[in-house]
Amino acid sequence: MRWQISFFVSVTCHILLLVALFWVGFPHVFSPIRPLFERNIDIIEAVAIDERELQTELKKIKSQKQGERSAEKAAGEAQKKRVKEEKRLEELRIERLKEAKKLEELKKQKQKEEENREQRERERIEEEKKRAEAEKAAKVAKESAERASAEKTRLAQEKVGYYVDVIKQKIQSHWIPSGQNLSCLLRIRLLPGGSVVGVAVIEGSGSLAFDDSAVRAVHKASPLPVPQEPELWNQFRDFTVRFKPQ
Amino acid sequence: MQTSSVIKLIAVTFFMASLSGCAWFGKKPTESRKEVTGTPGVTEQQPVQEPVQTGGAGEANLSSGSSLEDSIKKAQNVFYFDFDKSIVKTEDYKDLEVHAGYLTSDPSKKVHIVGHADERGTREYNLALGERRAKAVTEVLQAQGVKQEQATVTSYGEEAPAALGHNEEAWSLNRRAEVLY
Amino acid sequence: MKALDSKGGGQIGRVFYVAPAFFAFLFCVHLGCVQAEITIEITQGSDSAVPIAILPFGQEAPIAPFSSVIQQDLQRSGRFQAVQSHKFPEKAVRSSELTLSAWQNLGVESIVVGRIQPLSSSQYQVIFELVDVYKGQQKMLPSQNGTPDNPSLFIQNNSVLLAQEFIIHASESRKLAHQISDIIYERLTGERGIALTRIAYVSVVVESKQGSEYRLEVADLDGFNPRVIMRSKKPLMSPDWSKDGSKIAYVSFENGRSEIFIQNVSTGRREKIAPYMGLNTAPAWSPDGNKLALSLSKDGNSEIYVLHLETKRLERLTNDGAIDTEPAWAPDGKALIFTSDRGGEGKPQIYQFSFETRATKRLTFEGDYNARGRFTSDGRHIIMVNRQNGQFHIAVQEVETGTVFWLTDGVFDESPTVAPNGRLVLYATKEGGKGLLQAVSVDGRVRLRLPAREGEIREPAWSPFPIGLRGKGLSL
Repeated sequence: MRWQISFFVSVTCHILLLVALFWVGFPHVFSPIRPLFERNIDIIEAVAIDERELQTELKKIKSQKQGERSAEKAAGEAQKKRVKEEKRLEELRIERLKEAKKLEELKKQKQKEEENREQRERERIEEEKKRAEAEKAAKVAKESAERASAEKTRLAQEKVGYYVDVIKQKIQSHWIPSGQNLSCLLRIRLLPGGSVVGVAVIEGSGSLAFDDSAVRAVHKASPLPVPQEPELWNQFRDFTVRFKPQ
Repeated sequence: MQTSSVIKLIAVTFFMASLSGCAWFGKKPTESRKEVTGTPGVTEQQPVQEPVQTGGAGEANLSSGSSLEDSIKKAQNVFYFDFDKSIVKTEDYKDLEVHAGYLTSDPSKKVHIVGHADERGTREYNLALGERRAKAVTEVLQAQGVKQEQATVTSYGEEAPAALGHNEEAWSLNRRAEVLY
Repeated sequence: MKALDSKGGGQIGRVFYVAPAFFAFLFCVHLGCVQAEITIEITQGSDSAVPIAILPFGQEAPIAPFSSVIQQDLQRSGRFQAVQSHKFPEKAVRSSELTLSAWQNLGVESIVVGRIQPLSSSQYQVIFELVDVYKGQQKMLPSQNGTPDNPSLFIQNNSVLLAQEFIIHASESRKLAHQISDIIYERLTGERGIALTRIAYVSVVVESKQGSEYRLEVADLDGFNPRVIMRSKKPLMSPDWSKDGSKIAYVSFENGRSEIFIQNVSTGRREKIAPYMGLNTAPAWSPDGNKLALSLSKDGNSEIYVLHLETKRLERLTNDGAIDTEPAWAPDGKALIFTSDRGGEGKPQIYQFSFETRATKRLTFEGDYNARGRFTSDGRHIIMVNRQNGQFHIAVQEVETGTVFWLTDGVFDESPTVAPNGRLVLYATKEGGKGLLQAVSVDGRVRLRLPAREGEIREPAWSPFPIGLRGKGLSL
């Protein structure tokens, strides 16, 4: 008994732990694995666009630089300006890259959420389907079982009816009634094989002679014909007989 | 059941015919009355059941030998009835007239009329039936002037048969009313 | 329970056969109300007679053959079949000496054992026991708290149904034997027996020289102890017992016509109670014993009257021009039936007069001749004489439905008289032209002929239940 309790406790704990893990860890544990691949594609695309922009920008600046270098070499301020501009451009570029990254992140977030939703939906449908199938199977199984048991019951009842008839006939052929318009109820105990081991008047007719004649009839009719099948025999090991001449 | 009963009846009929029937066969009622004395009748009835001999002799003592006495000797004093009936037969009226004439001639004369039945039917009903037959005869006499107080009526039912057989021959002789003085 | 069963039947086997059965039984008892129980309806039994063995009483020789008298009585009732003594598997005079299984094998249901002990030269002690051959078997009995639905144990039950002791004079031995028959009959059938009853009847002895002699006789039902209570050279008719069995009313022609007398059976003292003009006939005692119904023709033709015996007051019940005779009382005394041919001469039928309504109604319609009706003791049937194709049979008519059955197929069957227990009808019939008595059960199943007598026997009248000898019940 004690081991059962601990067993159940441990099983319950494990289940609880599992459920907790599943619940808490879902986004952290499971999400990095699958969405990783999809994010890479996005990143490549985004970088490609930025670089093209960057390239054109750089080309522009280069051509400018070349023209200026040849025209005015001594223009230090221009140089400074250019450096400054370059710096600013660089900053802008970093800024843009950062922004793009942020955007990308947002996009990924959205995508992931969508993915999760879809996954859940799929799981739900799958589950529904499984349940319906199970239900259907259960129903079919139940129906066939019912049919089988009904058939079995019917057959059993038929057999019981047959034995009731032959017992009735045997007792009637041995009964010499002592009295008319009387009725008594006997309880009869049989041994397997139908030998009468006990007869009790559980509802007397008021006439000793009548009750005795009924009891004698049962004893004289012993052994009574009874079924062999255990489940049928069970119904005959202890039953009642009403004596009521008509 | 029926056939066996019929066979029984036939057997009984033949048996009785062989025993007693021959004695009656072809005899007239007056003759047959002789046999009555031998039957388990009542001793007191014996004389009156033989009217030709004893009855007639008795009456002869009553009145001086008139023609009435002679006629009463010759008249029948037993009247027979059909089965289950109490109607006096018309052929008996002539004889009853003789009795009526005899009785009306002397109102002090008394007559005793005894009815009988055959053995068929219940004893008590037959007793009443015998009485009814005796009364029917009495009524004929009264219709011819016999006074009520002159006649007494009784019945023996089937208890005093004139014939002992168990056939129609015997029965027809037992369904009777006797006029006794 | 099922587990127990399969183990009991299969694995553990026969060794522990009894134990599981017992536990299963206890289980059954406890689950009694839960289990869907089979109830078998037994609606009819066998018509056969109950097989019974009457063993010779110990030392019966000095007074009377008790066992053979009892055997004949029970056999005569039609309800019992006595097993012949040469088949008896053992001798016994007390129940404790019996081996019941030996008698079961013989098919016997009940056994009578008894013994007789002389106490003095004329006094005897008679003890008898009635044993149920099957009752001694194991039996479920109701538990001590008396709830019948909960049989709690098997016990060995006593198989002795009756045990009684009598101290009698030697001359009473036949009477006691009949009484024992009745005690046994009643215990086994639930109805009173008639072995101790007597019959009155008219016998006619033809004495060639003096004519016939009519005798009113009473005798035991088995024909023993006949006693002439009235002799006459003239017909005697219509005996009827008073309800206490002490007197008989009858019709005598000793004075040249029918008159009714009442005679004390034991003292012979008699009284003429109907000396009226015309017919005085068909006396019938009322159930309360205070009145006599009769048929008188003092007022012209046969009518039914009731004579109040205390006051001698005469009460006329019918008034018509037809024959009204053969009155008989309903068992409750509230009505009379009688024969009347008011429907046609020679066609009598049975009518009923009600004292409550003073109304008369016709009861019989089957055939053109129904007469001398007698009620059975339960009032449910009328036994009567019915004519069919010129033959007279004893018939029974169910009062409620009017259904008629023929009980006899004779030609001259008449004068039916019903046993006080309503089971048998005694009637007069003719065989070879000679009158004799026969009996038939009201259900028509049993026929028996009473012992022949000298002369012709007619007009039987069955006595009421007599008072028996005093006995003492022995503890079983």
